[in-house]
Amino acid sequence: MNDAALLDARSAVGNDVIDLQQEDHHAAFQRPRILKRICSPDEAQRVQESARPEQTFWGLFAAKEAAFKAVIQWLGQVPLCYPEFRVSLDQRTVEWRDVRLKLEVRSTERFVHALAWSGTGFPSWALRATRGGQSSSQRVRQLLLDHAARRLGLSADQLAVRRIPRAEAWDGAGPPELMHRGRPLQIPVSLSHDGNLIACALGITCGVGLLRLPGDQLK
Amino acid sequence: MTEAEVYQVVISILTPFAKAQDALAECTMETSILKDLKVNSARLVDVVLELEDRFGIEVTDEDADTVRTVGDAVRLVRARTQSD
Repeated sequence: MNDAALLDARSAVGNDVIDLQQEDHHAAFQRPRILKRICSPDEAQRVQESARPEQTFWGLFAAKEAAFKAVIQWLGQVPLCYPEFRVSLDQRTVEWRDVRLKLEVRSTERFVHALAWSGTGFPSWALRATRGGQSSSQRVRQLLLDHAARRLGLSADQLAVRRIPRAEAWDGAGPPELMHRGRPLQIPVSLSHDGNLIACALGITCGVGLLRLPGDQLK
Repeated sequence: MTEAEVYQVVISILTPFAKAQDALAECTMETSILKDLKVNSARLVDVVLELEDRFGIEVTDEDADTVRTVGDAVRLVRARTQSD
């Protein structure tokens, strides 16, 4: 089975949020070398010709990050070479080699958020602004637990997020997994944080009524 | 440049991008750039460009993808500078 067929047959989801209020993000799109590292030539042209070049650039970046997170859920670690992730002009799909993922990009003056996914249905997602307290990593995990609990009709206390250490992974750990009573639920999830924003996505591609919980009754 | 000299320059490059400034004080060659120093993935490209500018080297996307730790960056720089 090739990569495209594998991802078509399984569900995967990635999401990425960019906090546009981060000052150090503002000038990135104006630097040709940054554009070249992130964009294909036609994508770079889109940024340069855009009426909102900052949102356009970060929309492309977030789309590629989201797609990367989805791809590694089923294909394991792959090289993160941004220009190889190609975002369609209408921002409805993102392609990596022979894999095509569905895509949705939302942008405002405050943020850019991208969702990339395979399989049927539409991923459930949540985005919040936060202040101080816990680390962004802890806060985004709690956001996912609360969001998943509501969507699945479960208690957040019974859910957990784990990432298994993986030396070859870009940040030293595998993709996040949603656990219920210590066992992995077969639902792809994705976490993202940037600046004061946190976001998560839940790849629910079957009806909640059909979800089988390990060691539990059908809910 | 010696390994120690390259290490010091790499640390100076990472410093403005590291959110975990306390981790910089305890930094070693094994320190993870993303996980320990908490450099945002959106800023990794800036780090790569700084490495290119400060050391006068070219870092390909494939090279950049192999850099996980401070030591990976130091070894990459030394390999490129010694081969030039």
